[in-house]
Amino acid sequence: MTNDVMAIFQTAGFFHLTPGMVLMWLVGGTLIYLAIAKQYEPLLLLPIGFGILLANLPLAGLMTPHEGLLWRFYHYGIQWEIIPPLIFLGLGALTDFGPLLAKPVLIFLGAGAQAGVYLTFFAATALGFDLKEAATMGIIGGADGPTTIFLAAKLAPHMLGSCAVAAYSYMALVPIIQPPIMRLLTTSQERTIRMKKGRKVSQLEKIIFPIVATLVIILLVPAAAPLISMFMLGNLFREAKVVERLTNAAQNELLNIVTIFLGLPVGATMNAETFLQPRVLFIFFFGLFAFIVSTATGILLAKLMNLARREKINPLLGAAGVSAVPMAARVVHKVGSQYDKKNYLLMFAMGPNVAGVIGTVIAAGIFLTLLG
Amino acid sequence: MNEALQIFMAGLGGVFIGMTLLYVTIRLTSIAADHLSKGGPNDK
Repeated sequence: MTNDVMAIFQTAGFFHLTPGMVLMWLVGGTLIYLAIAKQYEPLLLLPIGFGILLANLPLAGLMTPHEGLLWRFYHYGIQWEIIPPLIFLGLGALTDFGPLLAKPVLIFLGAGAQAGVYLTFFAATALGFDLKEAATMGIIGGADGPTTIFLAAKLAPHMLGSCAVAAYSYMALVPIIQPPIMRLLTTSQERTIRMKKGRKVSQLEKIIFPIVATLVIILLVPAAAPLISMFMLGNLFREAKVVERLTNAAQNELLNIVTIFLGLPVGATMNAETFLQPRVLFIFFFGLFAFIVSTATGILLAKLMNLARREKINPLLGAAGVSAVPMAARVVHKVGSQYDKKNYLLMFAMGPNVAGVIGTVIAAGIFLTLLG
Repeated sequence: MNEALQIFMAGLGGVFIGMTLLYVTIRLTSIAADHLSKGGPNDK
């Protein structure tokens, strides 16, 4: 009898708790609080926060290799490269390339913002991080959650959870992080530049673009194929207008389902042993640095382009070159309208915003090619 | 550090090359779409 009671006690998690696990509950609880009370990226931070709680329950074994439920989600969903591309399928079905096709020159702002990715990579390497870790931290500057997760799973799986949380946290903080940089780097005169209306884009162009863009990008960076192919397929569904059921499924049911199976295992990778390390602070620091530099380089590139252009670009649009769709574009519009209420920048900002998604995928593909 | 610098240059260069190719693609796509929507050069 006594032995039975002892056996029950021995298998109860209470007696195997560590201070680190309890600390991780606080981290998970904070993310859940931010998701619910502050609505900071709730679709991701809520399952990530819950995943952290689950991964830090002793004896539950949810992340035990080959056995645990969350480990299976992680292994087959993320390590097997299934979930991030499926997220991209949904994102493609939600993306309108119209603003980009109407003013194609804005595509370069999406490239300019990737400078932050590479500058951060270089800075992290200089501070002693290995190349793969530095690349994973740099890609946070692209402000694209699925791409960050995709790259981290390949190059630095031990940093996956922290990088994902950093990426989604900073994406939620775009309205706070970006405006001071935008004001610092532009004059009030530049902020009031009104963009000329872009050309009219035919439906045929919108159908051809995802097909040709897929070919061009994959031929240039084959490692970007899983993400870009699904992104463009989703967009083709949308623009073809003959497969509305598939478009709706990709935009809604599929995207929602895979979001659950992305967030939960990402959170579950964050156990006390891997997360409670000084280097996690560096991940958050470099993530923020990458984000700030990406915003700045996008703006500076717009200013540089203006030196050679008769038709000026409002440099605020450069800040939308980080992905963070559509939050970054909304912030650009909001800041612009503070200086000229009739300056409608939103549609123009969507151009560099979607270009930023493509740019970040290319940047990730190049890292994979060189370091994978 | 040398390797990091090389990756930095190759990466940033690669992104700009990719975006330039896409820019050209968009321009050509608009010309092609315009052409197709008019029914080709022989259509009256």
